[in-house]
Amino acid sequence: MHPDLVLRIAGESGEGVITIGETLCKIAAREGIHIVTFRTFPAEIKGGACMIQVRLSERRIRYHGERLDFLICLNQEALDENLPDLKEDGVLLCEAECDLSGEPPGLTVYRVPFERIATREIGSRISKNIVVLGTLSHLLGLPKNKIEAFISQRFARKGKAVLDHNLDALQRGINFAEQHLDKKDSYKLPKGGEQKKLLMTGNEAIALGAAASGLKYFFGYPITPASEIMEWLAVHLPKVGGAVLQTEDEIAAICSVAGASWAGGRSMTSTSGPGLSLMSETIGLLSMAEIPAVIVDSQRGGPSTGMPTKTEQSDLLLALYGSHGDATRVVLAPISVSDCFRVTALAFALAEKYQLPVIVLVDQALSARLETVDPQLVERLPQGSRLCVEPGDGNQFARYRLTESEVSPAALPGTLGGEHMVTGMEHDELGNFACDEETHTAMTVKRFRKLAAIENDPLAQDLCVRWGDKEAEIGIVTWGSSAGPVEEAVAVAKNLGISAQAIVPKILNPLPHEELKAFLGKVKRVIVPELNFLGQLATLLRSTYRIPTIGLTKVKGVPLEPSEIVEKIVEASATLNVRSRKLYGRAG
Amino acid sequence: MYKVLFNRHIGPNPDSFLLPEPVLDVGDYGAISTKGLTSGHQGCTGCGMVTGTNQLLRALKLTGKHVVASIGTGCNEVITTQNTSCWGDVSVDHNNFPNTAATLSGNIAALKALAQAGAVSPKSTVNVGIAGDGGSYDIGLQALLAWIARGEDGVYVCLNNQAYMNTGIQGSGATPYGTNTSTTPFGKVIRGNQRTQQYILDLALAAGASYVAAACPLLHRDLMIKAQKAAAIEGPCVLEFYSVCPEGWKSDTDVFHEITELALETRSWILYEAERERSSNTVLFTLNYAPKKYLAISEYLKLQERFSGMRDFPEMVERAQEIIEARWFFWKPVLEANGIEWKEEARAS
Repeated sequence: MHPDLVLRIAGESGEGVITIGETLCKIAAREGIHIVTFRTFPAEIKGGACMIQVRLSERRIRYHGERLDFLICLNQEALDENLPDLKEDGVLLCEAECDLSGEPPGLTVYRVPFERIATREIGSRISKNIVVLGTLSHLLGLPKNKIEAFISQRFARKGKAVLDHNLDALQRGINFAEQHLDKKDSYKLPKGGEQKKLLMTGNEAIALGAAASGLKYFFGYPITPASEIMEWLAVHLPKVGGAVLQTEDEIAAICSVAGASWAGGRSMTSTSGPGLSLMSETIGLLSMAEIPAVIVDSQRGGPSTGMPTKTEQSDLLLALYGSHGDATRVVLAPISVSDCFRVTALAFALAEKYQLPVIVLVDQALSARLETVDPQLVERLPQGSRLCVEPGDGNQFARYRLTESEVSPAALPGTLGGEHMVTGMEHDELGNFACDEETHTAMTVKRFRKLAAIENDPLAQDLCVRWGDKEAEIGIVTWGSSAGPVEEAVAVAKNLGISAQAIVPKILNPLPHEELKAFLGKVKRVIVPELNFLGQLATLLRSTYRIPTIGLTKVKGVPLEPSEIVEKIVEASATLNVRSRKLYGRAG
Repeated sequence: MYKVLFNRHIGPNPDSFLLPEPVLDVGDYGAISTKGLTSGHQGCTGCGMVTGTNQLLRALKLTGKHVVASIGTGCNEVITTQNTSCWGDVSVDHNNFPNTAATLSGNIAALKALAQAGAVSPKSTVNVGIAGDGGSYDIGLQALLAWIARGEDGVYVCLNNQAYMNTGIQGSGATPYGTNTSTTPFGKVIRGNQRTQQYILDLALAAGASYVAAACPLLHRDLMIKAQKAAAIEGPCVLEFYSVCPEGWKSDTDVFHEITELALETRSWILYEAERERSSNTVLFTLNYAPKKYLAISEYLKLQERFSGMRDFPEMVERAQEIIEARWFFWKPVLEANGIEWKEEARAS
């Protein structure tokens, strides 16, 4: 019995490939199995090659797996494209007509005429994916009744004829497998836990996390790969008393957030890199006017329109520094789907408590991936709220009062005695325009001291995840979704006899100095894997801590692979006794 | 405001009081010598945008000028940039989502400067900006209206498929009332898009466009006349094409013809044009198509699943009909001059 199963289904977009993967995930999640998926999206609006990779495991995982145990191909193109990723002793389930002449000898191969069964026996090509599910049911030991229940649920609305059609397709898939396929491999569905799991995408987790944190007003503009956040909220937020407004562009979205947050309460927008670029000016306004806002950026390949359906982590510097002037903001980066939920809640807590913009950085791969999360996730969410006062001492309300905590009490519009103006111009405590030397200095310091206060806030503690041997001399620092492959790489390196440790800060501004300094002080080599060309996190670490780093950058539009990181670890370990700065390349 | 005049004649109109002679009517032309969008694009089956762009380019090339296109992000960009050879001998500048008209301005200014410097012969190019409804009604509106306000000589085309199809069918300013999109979902409380669609040509005319026209690729003769007129008339000219989208409208891929016909017969898409004489600020309106019999909007809703929710709510269908009647009322003088009733009830009785 394998504790882990990495399976990929590949075919043509429109063949129901994704449905097979999702069905498998839904059934497995109910069995309490841990799941992480990865899928590619064709750049075409319709058609094109597509695949979904599903990793099922007995234990908690954060990565979708590198080499495949089980590959399912619905056509020749999919086979040619994906076969190199299959393990030498892996299992291949493919369309019977595929040409396998170049196939490695160690594979276990099952050939099924999916196309023929669907078109000739059932008379409907679109039921091909259900035939595949039937075959898989036999090969992996998926309980038939659970697939049936799932199909019934999915097709019930389409009427009895369609439902019967699909149940027939399932049965024919099972029959064919039972009669013609002799199970020769040892792969089965991994053992599940006692507790059923929730299955959601990163985007859904963000939307859900926002709703659970009391989001009232959402403004957004369609953009791949962040649109699902707005779409989910458009359906569900009104049910809990919130409002969703689609604006005419991203500038309007972020400015509406500013208006709604000032006038009413928790507000948010979601976008991708091009949208964050447009929002940059207003990030400065939110910082200057001290208005809470949550901005989610699901990064994609850039610059410009770039690669909308591909992943990249190249907006870090934009998130950290975008907007002119000394503009303050908090930058958070979740590392998994369940993290998307909690970090979004944290974003609201920090934004409200400290009255500033908070940017949550995810990326296409994390936004789109399905992952299992524990239902207990919603317990003990980070809490933080806006300090509002009931003025009324007869004096003019000082919206930007300098206080010990650097947070000035706010008053919602309409509060008697709390009338005030928030402004993007430099201002004194009353909000009057002021450009004298003292005021600009005092107010700039005030805005930045909030970041210092956040560093010490209990809300911002324990935001670093660590793996590996804490005495190891090889250190890895990474961020966001690259954490998954790093976690795997540390484990693989250990098996190779190389000791390494990793740290992943989920807060990137302000940096968790205490933990990072301790980590960086301990290790002799610092590898920084990330999905951008510049080495943006490495740049930040070098400029902040004046340490040399070994960069591991990748701009292929796909996530890092553990083997790439292991290679760097092996290289670094070979140099542990060499004392030379030449080890460190310019870009890393 | 402007003085309004109506052209009594209903139908395709190659003549213009702004032009010394009529443009070519391809109906009279026989085989069309020019090439439009060629093979290699990745438009979905049944896409109206591809046909519209094809006819547009063929018509613009009938002027004998070199076509320089500025295209904004959107479906049209996605499906024509993976294999750019589909543009043939058209020079194309892809810019950001908000900036189609601003880029068009830059193209026009540069070619003007080059012509003044003697580097290219004046009037040897026709500059066209092509964007979708999201890029025109929403994010690109500011650039479009500013371009019109500057009075530059060029053509702007909005390929209107009535939502953001490229990013997953989100509603736009051009989305009709009651439509089910991913951001205007049809639910029990809020039933689809609650807003009435905007009309870009109304906005363009108010901003000072020299020529505006609504067309559809089904009536290619009319579309190609309009494209040529837009290229010939001095000043900013704005065209809007009805662009069938099976993916976003949830319709079959082979009912392009039927859907467009229904749009015309129900008057949910009105073919018209308006030409402005700038010195007297007079606008001449021409209706290019009047249905023989007015069909009820409920007929139009049938073939498209994006309207499946509202079909079951008579009050919503009625509201959609009211929106149409209110717009059609504008054409009353022309209809009366041709002995056509403007209201269906009057005609039926």
